Amino acid sequence: MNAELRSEVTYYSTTGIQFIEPAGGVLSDDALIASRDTDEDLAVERQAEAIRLKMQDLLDRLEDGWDSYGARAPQRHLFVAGLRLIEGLLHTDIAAPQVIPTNKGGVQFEWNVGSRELEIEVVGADRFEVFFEDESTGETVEDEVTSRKLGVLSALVNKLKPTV
Amino acid sequence: MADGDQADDKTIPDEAVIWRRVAPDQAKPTDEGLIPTPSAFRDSSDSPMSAILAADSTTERALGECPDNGVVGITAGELRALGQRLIRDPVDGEPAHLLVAGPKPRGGFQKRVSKAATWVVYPEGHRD
Repeated sequence: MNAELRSEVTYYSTTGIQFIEPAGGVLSDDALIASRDTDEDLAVERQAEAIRLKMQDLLDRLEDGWDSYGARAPQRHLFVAGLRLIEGLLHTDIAAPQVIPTNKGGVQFEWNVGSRELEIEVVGADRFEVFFEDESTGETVEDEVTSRKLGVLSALVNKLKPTV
Repeated sequence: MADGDQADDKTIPDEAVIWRRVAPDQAKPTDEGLIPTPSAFRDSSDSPMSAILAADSTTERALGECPDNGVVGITAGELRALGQRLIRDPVDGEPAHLLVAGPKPRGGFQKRVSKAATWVVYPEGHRD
C-alpha cells in the first residue's frame, strides 16, 4: 500500500465508522484526544487506531461468502459495537488483540499471551461471548455478557497483564 | 447432500487426514507462528463444518477458486476424540467432501483444533 492510499484509508477509517454512529461521542477522535494526554494514553490510542483501520478494511473488503463456506459479510452495527467495546478494554501493558471476522458477520478480538488466551466475540449490538483459558492454572471461563456486565470483560483482560 | 444427522462413518480410519480451507483473514500470528483462529472451525449457518478427506483429493482441488486460502490438516481420530462424527458428503467438484458434525464449544473443540491442525498449504493471502 503506498503512502497516498494509506492516508486515504486512514481518513476513511477514522470518519467512516464514526460517522455512521457517533454513539454519544464514544467513537469521536476529539473526545479520545481530549481524554488521552499522557504517553500511556497515546499508546492506547495508537492501538485503537490500528484496530479501527483493520476493522474498516474488513468492512470494506469482505463480502458474503468470504470464508468460502457461506460466511456473512461483516455487519456494520456489530463492528461499531465491537469498536466501542474494544476501545474501553485496551491497556498499555497488554498487546492489542487480533481482529478476526466471524462467519456470522461479527468480529472477534483474540489475545494470546503466553499460556493465557482470551476471545471476545461481538454477537449482537449488546451481546458478547467470551472465552478465557490459562493453561498454566487450568482456569477457564466461557460466558455471554451484555454491556451491563462489562466489568467481567475488564477483569479478564486484566488477567493478561504481565505477571511480576 | 448429507444433513449432518448420520452416524460416524467408520470406514474412515482414525489415521486419515482431514483437510479444511482457512481464509487469510482467519489466520493470526502468534509466538508459535501463524495459526488458524479457533473461529475457523465452526459449523456453517445451515450445515455442519465442511472438510475434505485428504487421501481422496488434492490440495489444488481443496483450494478450488480460493488460491489465496490456506489448508490445514488434522486426523480423523483427533476429531472423533473431540466428539465429532465424520460423514461422507460428495458434492459437485469434490467427491471427497465431508461433514464434521458434533458440538463445537470454544474451549473444548475450536481452540483444540486450532492448536492441533497443521498447515498443508500456507495462506498466501495473509496480510499481517
